[in-house]
Amino acid sequence: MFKHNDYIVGIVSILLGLFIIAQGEMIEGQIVMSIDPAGPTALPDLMAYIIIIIGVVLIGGAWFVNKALAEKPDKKKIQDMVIEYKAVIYSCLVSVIYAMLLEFVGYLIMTPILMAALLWIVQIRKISKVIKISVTMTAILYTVFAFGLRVKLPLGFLEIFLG
Amino acid sequence: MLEGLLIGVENVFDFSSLAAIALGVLWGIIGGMIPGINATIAMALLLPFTWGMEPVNAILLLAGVYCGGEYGGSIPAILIGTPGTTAAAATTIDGYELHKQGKTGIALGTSLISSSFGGFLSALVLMFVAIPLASVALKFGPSEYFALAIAGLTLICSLGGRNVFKGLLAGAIGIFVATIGYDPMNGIPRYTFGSLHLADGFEMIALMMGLFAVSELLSQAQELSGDAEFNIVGEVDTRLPGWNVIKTFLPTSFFSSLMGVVIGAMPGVGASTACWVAYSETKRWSKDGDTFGKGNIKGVAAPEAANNAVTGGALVPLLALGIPGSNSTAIMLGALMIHNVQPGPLLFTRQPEIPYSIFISLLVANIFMLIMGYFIVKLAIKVTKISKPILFASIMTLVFTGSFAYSGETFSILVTIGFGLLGYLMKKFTIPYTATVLGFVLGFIMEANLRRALLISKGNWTEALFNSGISTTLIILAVLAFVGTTYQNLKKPVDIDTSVKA
Repeated sequence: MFKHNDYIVGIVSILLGLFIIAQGEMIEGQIVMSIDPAGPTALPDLMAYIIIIIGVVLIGGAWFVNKALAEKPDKKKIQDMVIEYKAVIYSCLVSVIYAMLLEFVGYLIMTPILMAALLWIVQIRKISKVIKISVTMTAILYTVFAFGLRVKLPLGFLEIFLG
Repeated sequence: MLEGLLIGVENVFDFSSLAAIALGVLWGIIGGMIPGINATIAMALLLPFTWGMEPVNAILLLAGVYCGGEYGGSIPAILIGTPGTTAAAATTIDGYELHKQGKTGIALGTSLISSSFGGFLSALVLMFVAIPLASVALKFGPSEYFALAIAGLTLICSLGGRNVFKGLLAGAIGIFVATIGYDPMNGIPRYTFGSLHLADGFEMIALMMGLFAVSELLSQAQELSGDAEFNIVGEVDTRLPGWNVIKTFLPTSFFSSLMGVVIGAMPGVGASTACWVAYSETKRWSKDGDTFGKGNIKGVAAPEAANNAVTGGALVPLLALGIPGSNSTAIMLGALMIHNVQPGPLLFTRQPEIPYSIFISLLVANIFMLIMGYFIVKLAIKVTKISKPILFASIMTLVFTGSFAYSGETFSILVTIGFGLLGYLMKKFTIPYTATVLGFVLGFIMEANLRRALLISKGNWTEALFNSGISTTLIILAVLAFVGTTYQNLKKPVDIDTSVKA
């Protein structure tokens, strides 16, 4: 039922619950006059208390499990996990950069770059293949969304020529 | 009524009307398949084209889109673990699992047959009980809606698997996330940190695509980066289900369809809620409830029947009372008004060709959906033949494009990434993110209606919660289900999982 690493979830849950309650106090302070009996923080506060209680239960459960363990988890495994997470971190990073630059640089430039980066992350390293897939997929998506569904995708620099 | 139905048949079985329905269904399925485009958007995109059409044909076209759109969302839910529409979220749980087990044809076929069945049944129900059902739906006030949301939330207890607390934690997080944004009663911004992007809260589409699609893609990235030949799905069986399989889920489809019709008839509660309620109730009453989430076809049949049955139900308040109960029916109302048609009780006597043509068109649309869906499914299965790294990069890009398309803001992409990462971490710690989605979907309904009920009862909680027989029954059932599921989970022998990789 419980796992040895549930204490991490427990600690995060308690911190999240406390954060919600603290933020709720600030929101309550903004109310000047209201006929609403529950108030804007009633449900979030209730959820915060539930989250804190579950956090405590999870820490207790993890403590029970860790006590029952004869050996502590292998540290080498954790190091392996960090190496494994590289692809996840890179994927998130290129995605965030894509979202932040999309408006300024434009969909037609950023999307093939994103696709190429993602393909690179998952070990597709043949340049010609990466370019071919990235450009084709971008063209398909742009056609479907911009022409088929009439979605206004950001053109960025290309606005002058295509806008 | 018979006379009206004959007028409907005459109107629908005309080449231009049949063509309008067929085009609508096809457009709806395609729209539903694209993440970020739901039935409402697909209908809205067609609205300008209906101006020059005959009123009946215009409505039939939109009715076709409505049916097709609700079904289309299940195809990506099964094939890539990304619900094309929010109504297909529950389908992802067992549908994608079946696909990973290589039972792709079974999953897609079940979804198609169950969707058509649900839509067809709802059209029949709509035909005979539109006006009585509308009066039942009107009995639902804030207390009843709140109780309905609570009943739907009891599914959270079983989503956590062996650890009921993790299900509850994920659900509570979902409900909290639903409260972010302007307070519906006082207009005070809550937990927005001054960001205007968060003023209206998180977009459901962005949240779902993050939790379902991006979290799965991040898991795949981790695997694919280590071994380019890694294949998440082994041999794929593309055969559609035969009668021996169909008969096992037909009763589920039937009861889920009835739930979908009733939920659809309630203004403000749509297919996104119906799919979860049907999934939850089917799991609760099934003898093989333990296999839900592990690739049970009833887990595909139930939400798909329910979300398509909503189409008929949602038309009840629109046609019988002139009240649009959902975004999609609001667009239909717009289309009707463009053509000087005023829905309501008088519509059945003044312009009977409109409501009766809609009834018949829904029956025809669901038959078309079954035929078109068969060919689309055959084509869609080809997605499984694409190399996994290419599929990974393509889906990620499609998800981000869909996310942007829905809101027109790059902030939505950031939200999708954020929830994707959250979903990935939740998976690592065996926290069911599906419970977060459920909490988020029902959180809106729960909060708004609880506070309305409290306002009406002047702060009296007992009066707010147990306002009527309906709300009392629903709350008692929810409490019993909650206690029962929690007790069953706690009763199971304690096991100690020492694995580092969750």
